[in-house]
Amino acid sequence: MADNKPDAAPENVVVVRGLSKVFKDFWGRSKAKAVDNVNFEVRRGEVFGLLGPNGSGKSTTIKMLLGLLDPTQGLIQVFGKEPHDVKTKMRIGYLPEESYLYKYLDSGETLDFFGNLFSLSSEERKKRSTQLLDMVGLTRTQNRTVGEFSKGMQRRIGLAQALINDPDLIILDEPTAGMDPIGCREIKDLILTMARRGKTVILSSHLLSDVEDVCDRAVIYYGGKIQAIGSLKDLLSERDTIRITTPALTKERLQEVLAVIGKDVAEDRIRIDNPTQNLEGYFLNIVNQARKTEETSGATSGSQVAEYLRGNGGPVQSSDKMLDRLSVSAPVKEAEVIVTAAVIDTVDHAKLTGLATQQPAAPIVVAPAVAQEDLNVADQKLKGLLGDGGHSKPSN
Amino acid sequence: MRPTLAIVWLTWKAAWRFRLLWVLAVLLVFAVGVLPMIVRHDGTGKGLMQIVLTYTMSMVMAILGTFTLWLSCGTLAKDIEECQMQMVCVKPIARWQVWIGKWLGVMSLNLMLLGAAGVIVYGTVMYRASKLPERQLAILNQQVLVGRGSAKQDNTAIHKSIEEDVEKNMKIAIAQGKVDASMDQQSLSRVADSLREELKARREILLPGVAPREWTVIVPGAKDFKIGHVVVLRVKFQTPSPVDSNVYRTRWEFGPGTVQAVGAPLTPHAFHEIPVPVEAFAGGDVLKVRMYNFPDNPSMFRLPLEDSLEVLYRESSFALNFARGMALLFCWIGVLAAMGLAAASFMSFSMAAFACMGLLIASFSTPLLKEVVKDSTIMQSHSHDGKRNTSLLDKFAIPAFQLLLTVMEPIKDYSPIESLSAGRSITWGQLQKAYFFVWGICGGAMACFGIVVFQRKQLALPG
Repeated sequence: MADNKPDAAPENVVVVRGLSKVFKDFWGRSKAKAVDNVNFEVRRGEVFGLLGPNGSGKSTTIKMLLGLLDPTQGLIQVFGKEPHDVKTKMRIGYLPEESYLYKYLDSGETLDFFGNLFSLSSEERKKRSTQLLDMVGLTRTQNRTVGEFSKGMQRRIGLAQALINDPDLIILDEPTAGMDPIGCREIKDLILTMARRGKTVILSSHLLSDVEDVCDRAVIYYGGKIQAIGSLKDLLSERDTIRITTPALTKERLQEVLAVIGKDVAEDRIRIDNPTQNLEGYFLNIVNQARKTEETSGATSGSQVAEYLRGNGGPVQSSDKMLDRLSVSAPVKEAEVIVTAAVIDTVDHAKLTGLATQQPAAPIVVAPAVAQEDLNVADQKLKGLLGDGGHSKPSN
Repeated sequence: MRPTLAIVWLTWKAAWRFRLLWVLAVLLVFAVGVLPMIVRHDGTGKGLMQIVLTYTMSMVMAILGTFTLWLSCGTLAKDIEECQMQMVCVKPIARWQVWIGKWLGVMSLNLMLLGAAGVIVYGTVMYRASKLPERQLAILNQQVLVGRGSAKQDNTAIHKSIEEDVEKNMKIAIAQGKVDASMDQQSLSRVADSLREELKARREILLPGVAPREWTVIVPGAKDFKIGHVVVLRVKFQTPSPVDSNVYRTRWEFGPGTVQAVGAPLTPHAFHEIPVPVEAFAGGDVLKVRMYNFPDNPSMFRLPLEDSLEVLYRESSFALNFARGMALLFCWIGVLAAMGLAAASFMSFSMAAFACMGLLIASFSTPLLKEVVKDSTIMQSHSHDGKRNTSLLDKFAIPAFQLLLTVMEPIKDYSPIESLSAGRSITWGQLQKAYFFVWGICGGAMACFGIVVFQRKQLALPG
């Protein structure tokens, strides 16, 4: 049992040691082992992902962290206390995987009720409710009861209630389930903003892109057991491959670049293609354009993160996290080079001619500002990576 | 405190949004406003008021009792089943606060509804009374629309004397060989019981034309009674025939002051109220009563020691008494709310509601339960040798019924409806005792059980 003793390190917000949960039937016979000897810790200020397929034990772990289920075995500490400690709950915000809100309350009443549970004063509740409703885009629907909301709108109000106390630890169980892409993007931005303020976020999801976009570290569950744990940088980096993205080049320039690269890398290991923006970026751009002229009776896109949640700084862009991951410092020996992104192919000279003569692939829509910022920061990062040799995580 | 009040507010909100309050308001208005208009009575003002009070108060209790059980079971069990409780319990509120908040929510709703129902009942009674002829109104004010205290003779000395006589007579009977001393203890005890009944009956019987039967009753505060203060003797006597329709001449003397004599023709097997002049107290708290059975009466009287005679005196106004009666109903509702919440702490809504309703119905069947416990079997059939058949179920049912009776019996004593319709005072002392026993002991035990179970409950178990 000695190895079950939690670390005393103060930066650990959550410590889980030897955690198991067995569900039993009425007669006390074991029905299912939902969590099996799990160990991990979550550090202050990090975004920690719980990944895994449905039924892998993510939600059960979360419910044990919150004191909604008792572990069959093992130890849990949240802020150094056991999960049932009432005072500790002042510092926790929780969004469950489904809307467990009172359907007969409207969104304003819902936030007021949960604000009261945190003993917030009337003025503070009012102020925070207004900001949160604005943030999640439900200001116009605040007199409709939660029961009348669509699933996405219920997620939004659920998220708002989870933040009413400006929590130090935010536990989000499938936060983007049922959300439209705008909502998904906003939630991810919010998570990053919170992390930037030193808040700790535990994100459970089976949507890999959610975790990839925002998490510092993740644990991967399968069958109630941890199959992998570590920082995403460690888990995902292909250290023997680099990717360069540039504006469209003339055929001659492209051939020169390939010739230079070809000195170190065999031709069949170089891939080249046009970049395509991802669907999320494309969708967001279309909706942003439409919002200028169209009205909607549903949830509007939320405005920026609520003022009291932002602290002193503004929201951060998710690209920071991704770029941080690009900044690999390991030496590259005969690295595989991928010129540009998306559809990948090995070098085809006929295609190369076509690519070089085409106009730059931007005529459909103006690329989102985020993408441009990503590129700018990427340039800086790459300069560091290739030229200065040093790299650092962006100061978010 | 704020989190607990938030739970109270939530209960109100649910009752409002689910239109429970409206349904109850309509039901209560019908029960206390419309029903008294259509019930039949014996034609006297007293009869009318008694039936109005009994009907309306019973209906209020039935409606609010059912509502309380339903709401208290639903407000907790539904929240657990539909997972909203998970959202509450991850916030900084202790589970006992959630439980108490739910109870306070249900009780505050009841307070409002009971208050409104009380105002309507009181208003109806006063309005109907004001329409009665003056003579009937006077009787009503003396007998129903009043809070009358009750005093009875302390029979301790008599019981002690009976026991002494039983012991003495048993010894004599054994010495004379009329009773076999070698009999087993159970048989000896049966003989002693018969002897006790006989000796007791001798003290209860009043033969025609012989010495009067005498009672001494201490009436608290009687020394301060002014002339005109209403004091009555409430009396019932029996004759050997249970269907005796004769009218018997009786004479009553009251002392110890100037002895006041009253002649009264009375029918047996019914309660009668005979006015007692205040002068009889002679500035003290003691009242001596003598009853004569006239020599020409065709039968002896039996006046049971326990409940044949009591002195009733004005103690408080009807308004105050009525308010205390409502407070007693509120006390009852409180324990029902605790019962519903305790059941909902570990059962689903449907199971909790079913169990609570079952328990409530069982509590109305205490005479049957008493009989079963007395016979030590639930079986109603007999074997060939004449003994009652027994069942395996008896091993569980009898202790369970015994437990239920132990809990229910003392609580049943605190029913206000009978007292109000009989114009009897519900004293502050009774109210205090009721709250101590019903809330402090029964409700407290249920609350402790419910809170402990709820505290330990895993709220996110699958299924």
